[in-house]
Amino acid sequence: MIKSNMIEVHNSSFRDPSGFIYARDGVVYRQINKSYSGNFEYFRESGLLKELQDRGMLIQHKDVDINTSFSGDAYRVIKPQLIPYITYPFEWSFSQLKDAALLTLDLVAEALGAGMILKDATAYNVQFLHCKPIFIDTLSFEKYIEGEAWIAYGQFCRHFLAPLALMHYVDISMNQLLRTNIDGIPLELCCRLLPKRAKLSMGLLFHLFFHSSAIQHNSDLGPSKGKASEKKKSISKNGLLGIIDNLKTTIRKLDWQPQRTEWAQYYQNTNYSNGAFEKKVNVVDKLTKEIQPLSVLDLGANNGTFSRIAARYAKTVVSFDCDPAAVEKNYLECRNSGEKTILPLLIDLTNPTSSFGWCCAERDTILQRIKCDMVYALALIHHLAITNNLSFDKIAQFLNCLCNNLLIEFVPKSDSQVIGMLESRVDIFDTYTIDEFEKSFCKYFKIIHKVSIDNSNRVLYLMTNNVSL
Amino acid sequence: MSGFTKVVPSVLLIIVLSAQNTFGYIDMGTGSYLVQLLIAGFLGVLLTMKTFFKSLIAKIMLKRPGNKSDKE
Repeated sequence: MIKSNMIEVHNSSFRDPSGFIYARDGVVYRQINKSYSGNFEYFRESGLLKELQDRGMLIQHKDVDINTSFSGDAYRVIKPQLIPYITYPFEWSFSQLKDAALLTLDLVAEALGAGMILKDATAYNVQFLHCKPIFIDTLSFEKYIEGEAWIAYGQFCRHFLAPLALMHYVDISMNQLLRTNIDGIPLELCCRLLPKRAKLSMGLLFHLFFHSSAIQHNSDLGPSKGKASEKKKSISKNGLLGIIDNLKTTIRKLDWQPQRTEWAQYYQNTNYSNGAFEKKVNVVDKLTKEIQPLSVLDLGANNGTFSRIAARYAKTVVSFDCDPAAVEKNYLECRNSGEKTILPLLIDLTNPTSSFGWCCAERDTILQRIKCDMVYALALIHHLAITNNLSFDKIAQFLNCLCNNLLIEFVPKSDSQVIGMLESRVDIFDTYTIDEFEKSFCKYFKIIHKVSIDNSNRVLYLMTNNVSL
Repeated sequence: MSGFTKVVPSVLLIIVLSAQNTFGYIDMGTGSYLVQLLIAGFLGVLLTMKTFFKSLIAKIMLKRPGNKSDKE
């Protein structure tokens, strides 16, 4: 945030001259500039704004006093509905990105029907609220001028179609290219990575391969021949709707089936007996009930089995996992069951999202964006300590920054999971003992409960933060 | 990139003498404009046909004997 007299303008809100997001005393507002007044009034008066908000496609907002504006060119100030957790497209599973893409296309089609169009189509304009995608940029709608092309077509292809096609045809981890390409995956790069068979899809042939060639060819021509001149060629509204419809059809056909990965099948393969697993579930339920947290962050959540227990008590639950298959399963389960509390995210705790973009501050780190009352770190400690060589002290310090209440499971060396981890490497972990674990964690937390899980060697701890770093 | 996908935009560039002036804070790019110009007509016709056949099928289904809506 850029600070100015107790008001902070969000670092990512600088591109569009129509307005910007800022926070005053911790409350988030959006200033609508005078230059956008005509479009905004049309958006309101046409009924499109209300229609999209009523259908849950666009974020709700309240009109507030213009005296709360940030600068003199304010036309209006609105207070958007709060999105508890802002997330980025490379933190979403395949179906989350696909649902966000389809929402964006639905919005373009709806807008065209009401004589408007989306002037941008960045994936950062979509967030997840109650496990559904929602468009958060109220100022993205502008009046449609008959004959004009869709200005955000290229951006849509880079932000949505390219990563989805790469995830479908090449590898599920291809969405991580969005991490290094803030304005979407360059189409030329996408087309080089896609297999030839991708051209058999008419949509991909048009929107990626032809599109990329046209961009490349035009840039080869240089500015004098490649730039616009006086003569106009128009595109009919029906033609634009045809493009939108074809993009929808193309995206609907792209899918990804989670394979039988190590983590996707974790609960089937673990050494827990049924009784031990049931005991763990009961203890987690009881300890969470005791805390009554407003929000829970489930680290290494897998398919969200324990996140669902947290959801019985918390208003929001964020489930982190580094396995795309587990996150996909979790999201699909939430979507299909109508679960509104859980937000599954693809996060690798050993390399979480850092800040990036302009001045390294345009987009925030995951730790700036996700704050919770309670953290679950179940069956996680051995992965951090043994696979990633982290000391208990470093892990405790990290968890201390995240929460006030910690539910953590200690997995001893005698556990079959740890034995398997140490089979192929030298055991350099002399300090990996329950005593050292407690010693390190007691520097930052106070142990409230310590419960052994019957028929397993694992121990569950409920701790509260006793140090504020 | 194959010759096929290179040829189409080249031909289009010969036919289309200019790109359209557009407004907005992001750069659409002439390439993105050209490809929309190329495919819009075809996909527009495809959408019209799709809509027509969908409504035709819907009408046929409504007229089927035993259909509740038909009885009403």
